[in-house]
Amino acid sequence: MRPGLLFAEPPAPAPHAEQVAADLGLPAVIDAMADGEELIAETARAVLLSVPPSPEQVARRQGVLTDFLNEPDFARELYDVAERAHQAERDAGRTVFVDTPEALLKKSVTALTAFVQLLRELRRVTERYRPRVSSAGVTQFCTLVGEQFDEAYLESATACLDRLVVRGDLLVSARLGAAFVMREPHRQARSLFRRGGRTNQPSATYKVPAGDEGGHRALGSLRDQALAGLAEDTILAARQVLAFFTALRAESAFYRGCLNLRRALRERGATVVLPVVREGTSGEFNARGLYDPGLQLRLDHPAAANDLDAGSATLIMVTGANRGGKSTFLRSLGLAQLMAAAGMFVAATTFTAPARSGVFTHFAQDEDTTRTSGKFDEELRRMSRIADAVAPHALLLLNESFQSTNEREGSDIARHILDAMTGAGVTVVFVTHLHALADGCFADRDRFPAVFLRADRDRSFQLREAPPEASSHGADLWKQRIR
Amino acid sequence: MSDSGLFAPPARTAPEPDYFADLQLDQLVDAVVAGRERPDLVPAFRVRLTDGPTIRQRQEVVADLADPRLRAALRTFCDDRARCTRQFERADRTRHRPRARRTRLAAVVSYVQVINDVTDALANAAPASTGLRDWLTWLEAYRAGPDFAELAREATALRAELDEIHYTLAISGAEVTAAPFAGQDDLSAAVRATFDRFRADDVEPYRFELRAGIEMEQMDDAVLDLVVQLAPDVFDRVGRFLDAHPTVEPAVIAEVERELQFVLAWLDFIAPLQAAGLPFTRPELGQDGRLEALGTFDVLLAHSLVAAGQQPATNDAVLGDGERMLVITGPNQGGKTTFARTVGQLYHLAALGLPVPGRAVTLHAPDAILTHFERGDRAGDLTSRLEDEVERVAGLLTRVGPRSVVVLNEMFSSTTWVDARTMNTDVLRAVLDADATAVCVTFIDELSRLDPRIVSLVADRDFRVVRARADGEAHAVALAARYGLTRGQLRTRIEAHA
Repeated sequence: MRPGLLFAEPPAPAPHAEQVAADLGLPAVIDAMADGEELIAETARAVLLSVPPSPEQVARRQGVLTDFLNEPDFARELYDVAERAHQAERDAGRTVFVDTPEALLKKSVTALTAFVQLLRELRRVTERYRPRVSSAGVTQFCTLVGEQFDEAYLESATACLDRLVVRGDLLVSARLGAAFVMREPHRQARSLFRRGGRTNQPSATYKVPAGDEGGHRALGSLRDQALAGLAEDTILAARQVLAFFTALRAESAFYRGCLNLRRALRERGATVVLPVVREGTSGEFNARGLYDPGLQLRLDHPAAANDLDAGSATLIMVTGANRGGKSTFLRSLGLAQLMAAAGMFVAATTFTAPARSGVFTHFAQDEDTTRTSGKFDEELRRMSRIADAVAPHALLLLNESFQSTNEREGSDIARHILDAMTGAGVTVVFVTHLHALADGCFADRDRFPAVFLRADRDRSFQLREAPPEASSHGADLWKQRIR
Repeated sequence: MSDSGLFAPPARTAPEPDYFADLQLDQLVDAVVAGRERPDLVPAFRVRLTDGPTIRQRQEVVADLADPRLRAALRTFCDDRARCTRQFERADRTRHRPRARRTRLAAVVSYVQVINDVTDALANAAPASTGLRDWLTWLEAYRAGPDFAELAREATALRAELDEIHYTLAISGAEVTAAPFAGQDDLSAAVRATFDRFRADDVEPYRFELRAGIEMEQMDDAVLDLVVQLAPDVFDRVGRFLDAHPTVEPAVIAEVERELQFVLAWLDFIAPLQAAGLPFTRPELGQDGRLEALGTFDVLLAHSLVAAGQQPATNDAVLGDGERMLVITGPNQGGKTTFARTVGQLYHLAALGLPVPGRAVTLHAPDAILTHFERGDRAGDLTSRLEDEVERVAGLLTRVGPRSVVVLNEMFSSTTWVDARTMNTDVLRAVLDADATAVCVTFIDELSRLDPRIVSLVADRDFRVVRARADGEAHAVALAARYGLTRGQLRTRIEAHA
């Protein structure tokens, strides 16, 4: 049983997630979501860096988020109940000091008893908020809690737990060579415990002699064996109920993180919007007022924003001046795509994108692009690792890739990669100074539709649609040199 | 079939052949038998068969085992019989009489099952080899015989009676009381039913690892004694049955198991390589000196490469009419030594009657495999190393004959180049004169042009790339190809994830 506010299934980590997070500056966004709570950070990281869900799942999360934006205390209360279950589990752990079946059975019964009470509280919380929510995700959650944890069930659970309290004598059944099964003694058959009881059934008794220490230790081991199966089942039950609370805590933590991030961005005068996420084949990729939330969180004035009208083009070439806002644009696009897939709002005034199979980054590892064969090898190796994972409908962001060799070779290789990627249905955004490459793509734009953005040296940090300009990088350097 | 098993019995003891270390067959055999304690298969892998009919007899049985169902059935037979043997041994070691009898009865039941299973499986699979067909005939006769049928019936019935005993134990203070089970409620089932709605497959169950002390054995025996008291006559009948059958297994069954273990060890070892697309084949035994090995490779190297997700290069080793010797030259690290070793290994493995690496392999069963590999780690100064080498090569030449296979690797590299050329030339001529089949790795190019019976091979892993570059393929694109990033390669990779 899962709360279903966030995941249909536990998320699978996206390939190369660490690299993508570092290249896009995701930690700044996650820090703002966490607002000091490590658990939120952990969940946010897991959600943002998991294999993207379907557009239906994204829409479902957007609905849940909208409900929690309207009822922020609801998310908080769900989180608190789930957190108290974990506290109860830790408290129960403090009552036992050995890990014998008898001790762990007792611990699990204590924890489960507390869980049953918390499930009751959870039901009451959902009953209170139910009239004020409307999304499929949240209403289904309320219904689940109402149906699964009704009073009759909770009372039957309490009754079951009461029968598990061990009071000295044990009764097990067995066959030769098979494990023991704990049984509840018949009340009228209590005399079984006394030798030669009233029953007509045959019985045989072994009594450990009084001074036999080994025999008494063996008796203890026999009790352990008798209780082990029941203890294992009860421990598993406690773990499974706790897993439900763990999932609820993580899922509510994620939405609390979204609320934190929106507040932080709004305090800096920035707006956010719920994106439109279509099927992967939809071919609509547009944005207005797209900015880098990571950058915005460090500024107290509005960060530069860009527009994009890629339509169904699967190649976006970004050229132009250094320090003209190209990398920032790349990050804002990547972050928007990750946040959109997570079901979050994005840092833009409008954003429409297809659901991606994944987001991949290949960034030059530092500003210094000296030509050494080792570096070029490293770039190719990194690209090959991406190729191990990338699938059609992925988004690949390249930042000054393949500039560690000469321009001709770098352009040749990059062209192979662009052609293969776009041909296989991957959308590529390429920030580059490789003029031969950009120029070649521009010449072929009729056969291979592409969008060309250029950064200018006007300090606006905004990109505009324009054909690539010859050797901006070299010209800049040359000008500096002759000045 | 007599009592001799499926084919020429694999050796039980044998010294390591001289060429084993040079060809790394010692490492290969260690890797093949790794994790198989019993029986000791190392000697079986050391001794070559030298005549065609006995090799073919083994090859036939191995060919039968290509059928995955039959192979699985015989593997099950080997595993089950080993388990059954351990059960008998455990029973013999147990002093508590009711416990020893229970264990031994279980062992007899397992034995009956092992015989039934292997007979049925073999009958079903209809093997083609004489070895397995004869064994099936023997098994069917044995199983149909009155002794086995009676043993099976009685053991199974008694075992079922013991399993029927359902009892309770009440533990109260220092007393343990056994009584027949009377339908009391199962508390575990109640817990599972109550919390079933929380079931989650990704939650780890907890398992106690109860380590009972030595004193527990006594308690278990005491409990078993209580159960005996609840059902005394069943245990009496078990005792009488076991006393009437002190031994159950004919000796031939253990021999067949060992033979199968030998073949299965090899088939299991090569299975991951086959799964990775590397071919293995049943070698044809040709006339002396005939060699045609297509797409072959070093099994041990392939094993570690495949484990790391890589593929070895495959090569052809062919001697046509009038050709007797392969001379391999080329850059260092080009795979020359590996190639020579591979050819040497082929002759040994083929003579064990096992499938060998390659798409198609024809060769002869040699009377001797003679190898000389320069060993850098050998102690002593250069002079004494050279003396030692001369001594060993001279010794090798006295044993070489027309049915021999000779593998020479970088002879006399510690002397001057001119001396090395002269000495190598003499050795190669002697080998050619003896009409042996030979493979020679050398850094001296001239040796490849010494004689028309010599075939020149060049290990050219990197040269091939260089020639391709001269064809106009850009260096960078060649580099991209190495990473699987050319247009075509990359597109295929991406679409594989669709």
